[in-house]
Amino acid sequence: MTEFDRLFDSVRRPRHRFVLYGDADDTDVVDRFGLMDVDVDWEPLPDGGPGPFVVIETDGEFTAAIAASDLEHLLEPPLHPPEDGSGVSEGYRILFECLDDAIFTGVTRRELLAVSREIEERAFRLGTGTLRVGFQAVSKFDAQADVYRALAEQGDLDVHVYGASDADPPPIPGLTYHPYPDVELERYWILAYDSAGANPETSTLIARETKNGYDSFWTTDPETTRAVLGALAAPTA
Amino acid sequence: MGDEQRSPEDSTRRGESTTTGEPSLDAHDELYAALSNVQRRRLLAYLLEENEEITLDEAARVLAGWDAVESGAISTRDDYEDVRVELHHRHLPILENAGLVRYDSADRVIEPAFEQSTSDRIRNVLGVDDDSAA
Repeated sequence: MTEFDRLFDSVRRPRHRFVLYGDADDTDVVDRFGLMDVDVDWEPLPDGGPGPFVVIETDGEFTAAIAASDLEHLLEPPLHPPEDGSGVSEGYRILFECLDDAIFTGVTRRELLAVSREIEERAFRLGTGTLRVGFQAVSKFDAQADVYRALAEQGDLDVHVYGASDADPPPIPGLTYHPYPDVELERYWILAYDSAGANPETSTLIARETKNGYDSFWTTDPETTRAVLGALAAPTA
Repeated sequence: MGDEQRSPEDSTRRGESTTTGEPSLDAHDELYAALSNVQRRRLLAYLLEENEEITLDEAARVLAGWDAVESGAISTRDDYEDVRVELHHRHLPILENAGLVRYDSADRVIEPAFEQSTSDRIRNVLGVDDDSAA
């Protein structure tokens, strides 16, 4: 069992409830979201009412309401580079907050990229501290090189990229490549960011590759973030 | 919020039925006033569908979701709280005055009050006959 497996097990999970307002078969969108341990309910809407929407509750409290079509859209997220100012869609930012610590199953690489972009955007905006990122294999990092070139240009931000060295990575000034400290960790896609300073912002995404995509969760918890940063910075086993 | 807060239509306490059972024109005003706001119309449409009592929280969830669909933006917890407060302090008293709902403001429960007399009043306002009675 790796340090990251332990994090999957140890975090206290909030209880989420998704209420789909619309037709019974509109609940597909909630199923496709792949949240583990989520309660799903359904309520009809009147004729002439709005299109279907989903209300998300966390531990019994309202956290967000979103059109089912927009939720669908978030499953196929458009990707923006973090430096283009548009950042991640407002929708992702809000979902990031209200589904903190929830475990998703069957997550695709594209969805992970969208969540990763949210964390990269924070690191870019704050421009300080440490960002450690594991893309499993260095060859998978290639498509992200432009994003990370922009991040590495932020003078006060330390950027470290981890991956099995199956290719020659593009040289980027201010960015350091490492193998994962333990080959067992190569099944994890990881981002951990600590802005450091007096009021640090922390964000972490941990995704574990399975037969069916990834299981993943994200969190803004500082302790989890520091545990991940520490585990990645550990000397190679 | 609050653009309509002080408008006279919101403060109607007039328009009691006359002794003949015919609603006065003022009573029509009260109904018009109740139906003049999009949040109140949406709530009434939802209550017509449910046709049973719902909680204030449920009403606020539905209206926050309805807003999300119409605006294309996610409704946040703050949006939800605004809707909830506005329902409690503004919309529900108006709907209650117009005889369209009963609102238990202590238990925060909303009950539809669409009785025959209400249908008759709406028909009067709209100037249409009741087919079933013809």
